[in-house]
Amino acid sequence: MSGDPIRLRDDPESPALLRSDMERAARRGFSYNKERGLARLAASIQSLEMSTDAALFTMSERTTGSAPAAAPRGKATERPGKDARRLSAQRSLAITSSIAAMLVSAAVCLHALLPRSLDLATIRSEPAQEPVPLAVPAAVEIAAVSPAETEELKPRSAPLNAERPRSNATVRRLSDASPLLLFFDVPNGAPAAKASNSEPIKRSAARPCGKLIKTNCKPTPTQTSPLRPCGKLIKTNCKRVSPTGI
Amino acid sequence: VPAETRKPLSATALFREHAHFVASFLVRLGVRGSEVDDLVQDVFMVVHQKGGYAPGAARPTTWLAAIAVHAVGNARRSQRRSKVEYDQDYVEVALDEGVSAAEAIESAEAGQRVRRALDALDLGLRAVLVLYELEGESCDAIAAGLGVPVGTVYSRLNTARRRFREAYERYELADRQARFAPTRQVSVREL
Repeated sequence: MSGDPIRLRDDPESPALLRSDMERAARRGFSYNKERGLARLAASIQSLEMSTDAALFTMSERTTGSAPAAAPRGKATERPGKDARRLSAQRSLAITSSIAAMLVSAAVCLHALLPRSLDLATIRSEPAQEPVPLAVPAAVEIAAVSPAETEELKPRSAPLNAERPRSNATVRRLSDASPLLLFFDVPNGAPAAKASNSEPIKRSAARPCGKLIKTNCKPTPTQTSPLRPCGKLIKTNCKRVSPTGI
Repeated sequence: VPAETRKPLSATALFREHAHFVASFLVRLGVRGSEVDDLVQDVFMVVHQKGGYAPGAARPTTWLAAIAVHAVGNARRSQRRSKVEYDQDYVEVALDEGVSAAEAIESAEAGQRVRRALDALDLGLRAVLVLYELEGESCDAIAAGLGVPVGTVYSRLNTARRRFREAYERYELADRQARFAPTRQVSVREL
């Protein structure tokens, strides 16, 4: 170009050493093994294309179950970068379609599950079962009594909550019909509870679907088996009736 | 524009024609040792991902030089992160055959002086100076390759030449002072 400035090696105003150095530096060659570099480049390009094809094949197999159509050979060798862009676009399309398929399957699952859990009319139309003995809280009046009376009222069997002694408060007789109730915390799987396993299991606490209703109710004196229909103990904070009735 | 630059070229075809140019340009940008080979591969892999060289305003050499400048910038950033230091005393092997040993030494010394002065420039200015002064490219071709206006190339070239000359004269003065520094003479009495 005519508008370009004079190069340093051609500029007579430049120092002689600088001009000669620039001239030598411009003529200076560098060793580079072109054959080895070309082989390495070809291997890198082949590896890149194989990994791209493998990723596309995997995505296509996951979504449609079929392999992608083979790319036209002639153009792929001339302009491999175009192929890479095309494969990238196909890969993004495959990802989008797989996400859409996942969303559709999730919607189908929700549609199948929702009526069973939320259709109350179905539950009401089922035949009535035994009445659920919901909260029949024992009207227990707790009052402070004398130590002698406490000794008298202590259970003869070994108390289950021996590690956690209670206060002086105890239960006093409420009526003739109801036995003397001594309430203890029922530990999970306590021997006393297992002992009452022989009694008929009351399934009235169950929903029509079979699951137990979680309540904070306390068992009535007649309902001494805090067991589910499956046989496992119900985890409640309710008190247990003494087996001896004392 | 030459006829051979009008046809599209794939990465391998470009490599066959211009791998040596890219390697020497990388060395003149300050790349040393085995990193030269790695960066040459990086440059031509970028060319492959771009779909090869399409004829346009830029010549293949300046187009490759722009990719090489980006590759060197990325490599230096990653070196800064990983704190990898290459041997700076790496000496390029001259391919000039048939030259005498004295000429080879003078050429190596000239190359070291130029390289020291080039090291004082940042990457952008150094690329423009190397392409114009050492590779013999025109300002128009450099502008087309780097994708900047020609006025920007003139401005960068002017700044680069000024800083290069300052650094070159500073190092040359230091060399001259070291060469002609008075050595202490040992007298016979001290012996």
